[in-house]
Amino acid sequence: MTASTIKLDTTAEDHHVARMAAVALGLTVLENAIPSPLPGVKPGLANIVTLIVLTRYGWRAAAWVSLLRVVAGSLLFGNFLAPGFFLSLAGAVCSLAVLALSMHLPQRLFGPVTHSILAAFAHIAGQMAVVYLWLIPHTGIAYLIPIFATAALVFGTVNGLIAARFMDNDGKPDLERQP
Amino acid sequence: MPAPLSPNSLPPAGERDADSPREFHVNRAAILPHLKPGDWLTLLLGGLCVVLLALKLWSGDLADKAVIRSGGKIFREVPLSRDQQIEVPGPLGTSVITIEKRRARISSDPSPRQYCVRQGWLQQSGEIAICLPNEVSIELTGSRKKYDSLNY
Repeated sequence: MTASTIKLDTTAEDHHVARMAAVALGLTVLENAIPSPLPGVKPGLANIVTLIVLTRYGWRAAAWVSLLRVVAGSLLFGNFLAPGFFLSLAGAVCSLAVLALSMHLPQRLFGPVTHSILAAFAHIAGQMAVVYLWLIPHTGIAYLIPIFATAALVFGTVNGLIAARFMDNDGKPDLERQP
Repeated sequence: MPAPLSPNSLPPAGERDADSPREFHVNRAAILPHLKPGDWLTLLLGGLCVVLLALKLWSGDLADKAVIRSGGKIFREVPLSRDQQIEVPGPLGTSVITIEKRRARISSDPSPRQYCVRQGWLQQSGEIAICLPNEVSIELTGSRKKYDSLNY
């Protein structure tokens, strides 16, 4: 058998994005093991990675990490192009859109917690939009919105705090994130 | 192509080592320094948003109209303000819908399992009872007011 090697030119950033996406993927797998009281209510731990990447390397890298995580995660769980995949995608896209705006808030006043909360709300808004427009076009799902919004607020805050705590060590060599 | 990666501006390493241990303590020191004034504002507004959403969406929008369908087509639309009994013909027989005290229910139905009858009274907008084999359903709808109140 002849081994044919396809070599792609990759940059340091590609490697970094891939590493971060892998970490995010690990967190996604981890949180899938956590039982959830209601489908759709989950901590979204992978967003911690997105937040850190956003702060350190900017929106482009964060978008890459987030979308890679969604696609690779769906391949991992076997729901690529299934409804769950589109829900994740809608959530991620809306979050990224809001993050693109919120990252321009003055950094002196607004930290990762703000970004995290806004992104969490955007996430749930995107998902509810897809659910309503595509999966369950009935106004009855409005009854679930307060539950999802509460979860978004709580988990958004917690994730933001964790991300902020991780970045305490910014400025020192990036110990925990190196391979 | 993207700009080359460079870690954000580095203060001298070790500057913050002395008093920030790397373990995670869940205590005030772990949380408070990470909340900037704007974060508190976001938290406050987010909380307010959640409370308003809950009040708005869970206030139990009382229904004031019932839409009765038979075989997928609208059979009648009746207001809930007048108590009455309505007989709706279906392929299996007649379903009887009772409207009383601004509530509605299916009081009798020829379907074998009687799910829609056992569902009981419907009161809030959006509630729905469906008798499947007999193809009869009743759905409550709200008025979707354009305003909360009027002042003169």
